[in-house]
Amino acid sequence: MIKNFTLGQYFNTASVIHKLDSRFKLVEIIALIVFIFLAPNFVGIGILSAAVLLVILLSKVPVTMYLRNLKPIIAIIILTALLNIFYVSGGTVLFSWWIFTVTSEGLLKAAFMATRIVLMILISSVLTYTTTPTELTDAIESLLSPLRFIGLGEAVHTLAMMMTIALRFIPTLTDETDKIMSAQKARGADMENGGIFKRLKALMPILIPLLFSSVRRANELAEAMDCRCYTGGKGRTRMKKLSPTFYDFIAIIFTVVICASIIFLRIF
Amino acid sequence: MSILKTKNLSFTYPQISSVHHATINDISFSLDSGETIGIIGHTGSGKSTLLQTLNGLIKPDSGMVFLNEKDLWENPKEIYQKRFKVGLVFQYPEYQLFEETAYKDIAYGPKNMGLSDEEIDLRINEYSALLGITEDNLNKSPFELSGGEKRRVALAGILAMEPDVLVLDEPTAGLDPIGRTMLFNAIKEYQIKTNAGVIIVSHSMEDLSKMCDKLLVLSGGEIKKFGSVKDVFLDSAELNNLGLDVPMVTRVMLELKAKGLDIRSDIFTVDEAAKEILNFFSQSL
Ligand SMILES: Nc1ncnc2c1ncn2[C@@H]1O[C@H](COP(=O)(O)OP(=O)(O)OP(=O)(O)O)[C@@H](O)[C@H]1O
Ligand SMILES: [Mg+2]
Repeated sequence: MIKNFTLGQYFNTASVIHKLDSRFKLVEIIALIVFIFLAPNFVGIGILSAAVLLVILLSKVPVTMYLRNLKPIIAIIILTALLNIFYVSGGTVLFSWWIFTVTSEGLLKAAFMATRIVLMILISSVLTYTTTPTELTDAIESLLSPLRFIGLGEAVHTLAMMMTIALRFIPTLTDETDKIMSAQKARGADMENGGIFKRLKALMPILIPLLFSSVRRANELAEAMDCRCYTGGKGRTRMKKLSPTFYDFIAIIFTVVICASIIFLRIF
Repeated sequence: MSILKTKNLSFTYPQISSVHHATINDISFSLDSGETIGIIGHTGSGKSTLLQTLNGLIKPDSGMVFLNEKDLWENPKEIYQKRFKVGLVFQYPEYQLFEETAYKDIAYGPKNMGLSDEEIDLRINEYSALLGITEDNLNKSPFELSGGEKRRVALAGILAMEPDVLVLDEPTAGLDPIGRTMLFNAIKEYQIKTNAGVIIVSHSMEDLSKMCDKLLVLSGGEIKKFGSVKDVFLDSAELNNLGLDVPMVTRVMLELKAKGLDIRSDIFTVDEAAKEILNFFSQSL
């Protein structure tokens, strides 16, 4: 079964982070990611780590959920760390063997880089865990809306609508795939055995009905939208209006303070 | 002799957290060859899930399924073979059609069984005739057929595997009255010819009372009642509690009886009811 595949891994705990206006949340998190890469030294990374940790705790999403997201990139972290350990020279030599020399500077640099990557993953996880895909596309649409001044307003709306529809239909399609797979297995389809060619061929009985039903669904959706007088972005209002609250105010100040302190560290 | 039997079958979808009750729980029943069992239960009661354990699409968490007195899962590698013996027709089977022609689509199952082309051709001719699929439609793309015609093709695809047990999930949903009658007649005919056991899930009590020998009532994944059609429908209060109902004509008879007419109410088909009412009038005249 392919149901356990989730995209937009929203995890609702109704925390203050969930309640933040998604437009501001998106900008704040992008700002934090940028400043994670601008942080010049361990003091800066320390400040950012504390900030990320605070946000994680406030989100009330179990810490294990965050750790799970780190798993796929452990290899990358280790690789960058190793590269830094061996290729950064300077500082006192701690250890030397053949062509490898480990210096204190290299170790520090490795730890620095690794922390950066981890922080970046963690803070982006905060965004995906606390923001529904719909909120996210709304935020993107809203943030791109200035493009209407150069005549791209309709394009932005169409893009956002396409993203929303695509995200909406992912669970439907996985459901459908499950059903069609079961139905073909009931007719003796064997998808687990055989060579690559045989397996590819065994996919046809699944892909073709899936394609047909997607086209059918798309048609139905288009008709339903027509029936409700959908004419694109012009004059369209929202049911859920995004509106900043007191928490957003605090979150903005929080982000500004963090970013300012990093700028301060860089300058002095 | 029982052809299909389950013993203490339980299964829960892995994504559902353990705080929920099992999707199906402790299901034991047995089906004889030539017998028809109807399964009723409200939406989400686990009917479709139960059906999928019967042909090994779902491996139960605990409990066993016996096909011809043999454990279905005794050799998990051969589970594919078992699916030819327990033919499962899904809800809205027309959405699984994929071949270029209806003919080829019906041939898909038998081909997977490894039958010869002549044998496959024989079976396709036999079962498309049984289901009233015209020669013309056999050579059309399945996507050009109407919904009802597609349904027949899908069903023919399962019948052509000549399963010992035929399992149908709401086979008449969305069909017109003629389509329903035709479908049921075809199933009956297949059953008479092969002495297969049949299991039907349906929300139509009328259809079930016409087709079935026994009824199995599911609620919350558990068997609430398993017995002859008469036994199950006689307890209309219990059925109402479970969000189900007796056939319409039975309700009419119950009302008539409540109005003081001396009339039988253990009647589940319109034909029987007509006879009983005529009988009543000829006696009272
Ligand atoms: N693939 C699946 N993954 C997780 N849960 C499922 C899955 N399929 C069904 N369920 C859940 O299992 C329960 C039983 O579902 P099932 O489809 O067996 O019900 P049903 O009796 O066939 O209902 P209906 O009359 O609507 O067809 C439901 O609560 C449903 O939400
Ligand atoms: Mg069902």
